[in-house]
Amino acid sequence: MIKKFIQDDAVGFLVRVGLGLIFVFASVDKILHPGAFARIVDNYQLLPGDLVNIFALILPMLELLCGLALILGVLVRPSAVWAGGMLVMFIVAVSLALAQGINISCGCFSTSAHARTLGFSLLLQDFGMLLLAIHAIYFDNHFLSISRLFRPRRAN
Amino acid sequence: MLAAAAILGLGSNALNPDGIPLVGYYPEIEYGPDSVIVPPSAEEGDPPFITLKEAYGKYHDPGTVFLDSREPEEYEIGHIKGALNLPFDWVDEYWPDVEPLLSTDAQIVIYCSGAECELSLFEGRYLRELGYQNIFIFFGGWSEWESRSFPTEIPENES
Repeated sequence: MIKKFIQDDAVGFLVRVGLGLIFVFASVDKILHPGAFARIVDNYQLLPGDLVNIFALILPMLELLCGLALILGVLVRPSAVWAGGMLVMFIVAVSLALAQGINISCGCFSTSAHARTLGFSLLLQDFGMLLLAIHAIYFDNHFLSISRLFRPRRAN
Repeated sequence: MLAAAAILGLGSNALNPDGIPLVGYYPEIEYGPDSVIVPPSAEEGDPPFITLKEAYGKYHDPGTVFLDSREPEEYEIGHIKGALNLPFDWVDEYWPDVEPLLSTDAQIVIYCSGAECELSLFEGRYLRELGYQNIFIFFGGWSEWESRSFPTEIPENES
């Protein structure tokens, strides 16, 4: 029964679109405030200073593209792979920061200095989203997708 | 997809009037007032006072040492990441542990709780008398630093 539920087209659709919405939502404030996001990236102290700004400009755009692709159902599997890769990167970055006792705002959905700070609940949230990404990679759901809309019909 | 993100990210930044340089610091950072906070008891000849922006810049200079002049209990609750604790009220007890970590030509930034605390100034004068010349007082202190979510160390059970 659980297997049937996991394989259900509607569940796959909700996972795909839900993950896409999260990524789009997460990208918007970072794209609007690149300087503030660059500072947050720098605060993690994981990247050389010269790479911080470039990383802060590209990552939110990658989140946006992956999110839109998942919502629209275009390039679902590659987008889910990128989303999963980013989530693994977030999990590693947050874990390292927590291990070093760095207390900074996480830069997850907002670039505000008073936004959510790092913690284990954040790690759990990232692991949860990683499970959604793995589901999207494995089942490659195209239910109600643009790609299915434009797929050539089979000749009878 | 990465190439598309790179083109869109760098392209939108180039068109954005508030865009950031590809390398360097970040113009959108709000450091608060640029005017430096100076305590009423400051005297001519005191170590220079620096703004939050300058303190954050020096934080990235290799070899800079941040000294926290507050009580050990306050330091334990939270401090600037990497800062050493040299509580001015207990300076004689703590100095033997801190001295080996400071070369006389090291760039030293001293801070306290914030604008209500003058221990950083007193400690700056004390270190000057000992021969340390490259000293700066960040008078905005812990409260200003923490309010910007700059790197800190806070024990897990306190955060």
